[in-house]
Amino acid sequence: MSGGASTARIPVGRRPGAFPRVVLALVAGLGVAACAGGGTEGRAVPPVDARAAAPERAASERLVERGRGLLEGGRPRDAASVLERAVRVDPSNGRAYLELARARMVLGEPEVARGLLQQAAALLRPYPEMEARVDSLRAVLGGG
Amino acid sequence: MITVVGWLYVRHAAARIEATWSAHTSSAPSRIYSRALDLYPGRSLDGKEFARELEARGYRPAPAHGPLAPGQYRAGGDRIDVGLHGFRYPPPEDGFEGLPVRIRFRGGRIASLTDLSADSAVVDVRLEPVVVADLLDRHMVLRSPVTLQRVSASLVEAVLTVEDRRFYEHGGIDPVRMAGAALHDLRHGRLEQGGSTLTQQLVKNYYLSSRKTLGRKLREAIMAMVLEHEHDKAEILRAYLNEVYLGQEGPVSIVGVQEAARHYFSRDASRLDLAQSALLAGMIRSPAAYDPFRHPEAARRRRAAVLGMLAARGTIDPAERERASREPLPRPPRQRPLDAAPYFVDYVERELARRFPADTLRREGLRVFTTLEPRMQRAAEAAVGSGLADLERAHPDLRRPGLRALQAALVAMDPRTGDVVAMVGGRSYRSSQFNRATEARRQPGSLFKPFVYLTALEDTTGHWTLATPVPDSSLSVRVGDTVWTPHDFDGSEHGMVPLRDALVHSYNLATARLALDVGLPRVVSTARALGVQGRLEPVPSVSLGAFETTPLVMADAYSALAGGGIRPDPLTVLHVVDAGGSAVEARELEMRRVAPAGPVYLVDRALQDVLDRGTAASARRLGYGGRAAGKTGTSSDYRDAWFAGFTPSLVTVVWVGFDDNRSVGLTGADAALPIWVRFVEAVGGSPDQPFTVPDGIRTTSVDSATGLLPGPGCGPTREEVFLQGTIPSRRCDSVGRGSP
Repeated sequence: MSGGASTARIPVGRRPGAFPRVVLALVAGLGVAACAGGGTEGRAVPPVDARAAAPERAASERLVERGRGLLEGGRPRDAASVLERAVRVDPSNGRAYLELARARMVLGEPEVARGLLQQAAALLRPYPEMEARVDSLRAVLGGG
Repeated sequence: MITVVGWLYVRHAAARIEATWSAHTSSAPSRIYSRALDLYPGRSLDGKEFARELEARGYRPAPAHGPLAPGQYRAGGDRIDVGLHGFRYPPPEDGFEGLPVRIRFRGGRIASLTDLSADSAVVDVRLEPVVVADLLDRHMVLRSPVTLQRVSASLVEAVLTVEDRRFYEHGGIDPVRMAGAALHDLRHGRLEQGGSTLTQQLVKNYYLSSRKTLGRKLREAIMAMVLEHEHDKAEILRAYLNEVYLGQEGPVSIVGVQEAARHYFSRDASRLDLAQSALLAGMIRSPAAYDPFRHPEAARRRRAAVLGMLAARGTIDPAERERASREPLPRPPRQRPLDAAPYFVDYVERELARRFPADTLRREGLRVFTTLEPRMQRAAEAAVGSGLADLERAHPDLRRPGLRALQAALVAMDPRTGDVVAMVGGRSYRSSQFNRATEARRQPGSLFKPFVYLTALEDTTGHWTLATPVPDSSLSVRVGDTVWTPHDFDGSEHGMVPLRDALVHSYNLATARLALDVGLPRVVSTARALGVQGRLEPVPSVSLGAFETTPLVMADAYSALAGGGIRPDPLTVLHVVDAGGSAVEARELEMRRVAPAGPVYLVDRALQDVLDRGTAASARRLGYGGRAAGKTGTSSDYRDAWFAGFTPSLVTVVWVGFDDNRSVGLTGADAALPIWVRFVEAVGGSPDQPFTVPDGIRTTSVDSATGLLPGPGCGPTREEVFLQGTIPSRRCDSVGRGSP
């Protein structure tokens, strides 16, 4: 805990039977610490993808793979259509937004791609391994 | 001279035919579809619900035994077998040819999908969209032109047998048949029998009146011969099959064999069997008299007669005739899809009208794919209907003779995509077509308040947190020549209250003060970024929602709150495909960040409290147990009652009020919230889906009263969420209680 030093006032002079100052200070400090919880730093809340194991995610991922294949095969418009379906099957699937952003970028729609990338970045927070892919696309798009 | 006149008439007839032939043969209304239903293992869907979805698409129960045809389903135990129709989806996935599938259900979910034709598991199948509406022209004709290749051979054979056996031999008129008809008419002393060929019938339908005069018959004969000269037999037969009148659905005419096949048998014309073909061909003579839904016995007799003609020509053998005669007649569908979502359809039509001329929409057979979810729409309509009825039962003064009825509107959106999944614009489209969801501009009242709090929490100085005490005390502000003096709902002042509680309990005084402190132009700017359009002036009363807006706009703005600050463009139309199957319009998923994720998350957390302990706590008493955020709204003099509720996957805004703006006398919690609860309960609402926690969110305990870090002398504490770097550094015991 930071910022947790006690400021409780201990009376000057010691009456018979009273606790030593150091004990009182320790108790007060512990009390503050217990009340304060995370203190001025607080506790971070780890990102969680609550829908990762949902059945719609698997269905959406199949469409993402199909969309990626179309994109790699030089059919970005068809890829975008399939990837939009992937998003609608599971709108919490960050990868679907990411691939859709790629397709929109290829189609020459950087503004649309940027918005989709923002959504992808928000949803993919629980997956640090995806950060590099988000960043590289962001770098290409410039901003967002 | 006669030759010249004749030649001129033939030229005139040919020109007339050619000028309109293409328009006649391809004319069809545009069709509006809902979303398709994706089917995959694990999807939340039970058998009963799935059967409802099938019926909404016109699927019929199949006989207990025998093969499963497209458009039929058979339920038994934990499974439903269904003959999925073929369907032309927008490109690139436009070639689905239909499939018999077995769907097993377990625990309210799809357990497995099996392709019955190959006896193999499948993982990704779609049930085609529901036909929500057809955009008909003033003739109210429902027609879906098809090529000859998409008409079953048995139907072509039956039609030619019944209507024109010598079709391939004559040149437009059939003198043998005409002579027979003339003799009949002479014997009876009046014009009764036409003796018309298919070509003549087509000419009559396309170009002439239905009067039975000698002059009209002569013109018909000449034009039929001209038509045969200009077009080959296949073109004429195709045009006839697409033009023939085959019945009525209310005010709407069923025209052409494809539409009739769908209407009577829930299948495409290419899939009609012998019995169905015989019935349809027999109906041409008098579709009303032989309507199998209304006159089954007459239909059965007529079908038998046609089968007899086919057998007599040697087209079918006696065994086939016998089998087909025993086939059951079609049963009418349980649901009439044409009645679905009228307000949504009006809205879509207006959207389309910006891009397509009215004539194109009503004649060129566009297929319009929308975001509507039939299950959501059904639930929305039921919630509005029963919710208003209950309100009127509980408050009889809401229903006064001679005065307009209480109205409601509901808009439901997926905040991650912007898809409008349900829309109800009033209690009865039949009695009022005014779409209150998109057109009624009403004061949102406290529905606006979250935008004030978001503006404060966005302040980069970190001055405001959810724990910051704000004064809920009286104030008066001079605005021009008047003095604005707001009051809290209960008429009292609540002193220093944490910012979170001011929002949770919807305190007017604290909100107005906060808006003035933050700066009214900034508040307006936040609201505009979230999509609140129209006249939004930076005046003090704007903080309490004293301006006018629509439920759709509020749903749009709240979708940014539900979506962590990312706001998608609202969508109703996804794809428009022309009659040839080419995409003519695709509305893309578009979104952008309009507010930082952290402050939005804080607002969402406070709005969750609204349902747990705030102005919408009655939701729990009404039976809603899920996790959701929301805000009540009540405008001046109780003229408008609102509730906006959301989860990360669904935003729903409900408005209740009178069209003539008189007082409802009820709050948003009393009037609009119960409708919201009914709706979200009916649709499941993803109650356990948490809001995404963005970067930089911290939690810590604070002293409930002061919002400061707890110390030994402080009272009760509570957990609070903060943006990183905004947790207070002072402790309540260092400054004394009550003096933050």
